[in-house]
Amino acid sequence: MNYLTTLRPMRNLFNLHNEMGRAFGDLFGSHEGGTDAEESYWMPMVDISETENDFEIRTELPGVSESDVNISVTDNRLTVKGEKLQEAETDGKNYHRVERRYGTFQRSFTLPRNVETNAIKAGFSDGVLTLTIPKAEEAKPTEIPITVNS
Amino acid sequence: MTYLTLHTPAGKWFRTYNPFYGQRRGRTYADGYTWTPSVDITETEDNFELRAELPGIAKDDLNISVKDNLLTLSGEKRQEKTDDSENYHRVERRYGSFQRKFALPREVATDDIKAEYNDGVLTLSIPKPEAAKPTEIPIATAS
Repeated sequence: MNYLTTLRPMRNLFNLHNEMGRAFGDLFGSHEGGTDAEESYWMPMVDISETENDFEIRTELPGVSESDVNISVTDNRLTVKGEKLQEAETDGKNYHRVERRYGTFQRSFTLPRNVETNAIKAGFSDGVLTLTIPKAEEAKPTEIPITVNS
Repeated sequence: MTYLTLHTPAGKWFRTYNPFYGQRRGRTYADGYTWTPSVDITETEDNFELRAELPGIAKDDLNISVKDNLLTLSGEKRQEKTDDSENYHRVERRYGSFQRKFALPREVATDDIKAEYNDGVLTLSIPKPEAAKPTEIPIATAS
């Protein structure tokens, strides 16, 4: 496999549920960050792109501090996980509306075979985590020159 | 009204009830924006606080305005592009223009609203009008 893919077992169903909950607002209560047995963590939104030299994964983690994010690679699985904490202590604070998701989050990706897992770089700015995964030499496009027999 | 509330005119219910409406790429809300950020609204003794998740947005693309006690948060989120050879395999994040409106309490001093953008979260501190602050009523003991 030469593409970077996401692992999301049985997730689409839950996401639809979340979207519905969000569209209906308070009518049926919020389902975001649900507490069902399997739904103990939330999944941040990601974009995956590819350039000539590397793959890039950009994850939206607004309001998450760098020290609460953990990135690991086991076999060919890349996992981004961590915890989003509510900004301020709740003392003397009344919540009128909570739409943002808090708590533990996790997202896993299956890495393609031809990447340099030791050279993955991570940057974090404005709440967006950017992972740069360099391609191995053999995965880069090679040009085949045409020899013209004249 | 002394509370900070979300501004959702009744007609919007019918336009936004569909979970796919306006949330997919290429679709737009009737007002021309394509997505809405998530917000938390909290209240302390002196302030209302509004926190909106706006990851990956440049400060210049963010607009906060107040008119007729209606606070409008709007702007544009652009896709980061590192170079021209970039191909997207998966796009879950939402891009394009966004908008969200909030009804402010009538007596709020709009000049004193403070805005801060940190780690992709915009925090607005809106000082409460005097009328909304709790007052203590002393109990006189008749002795």
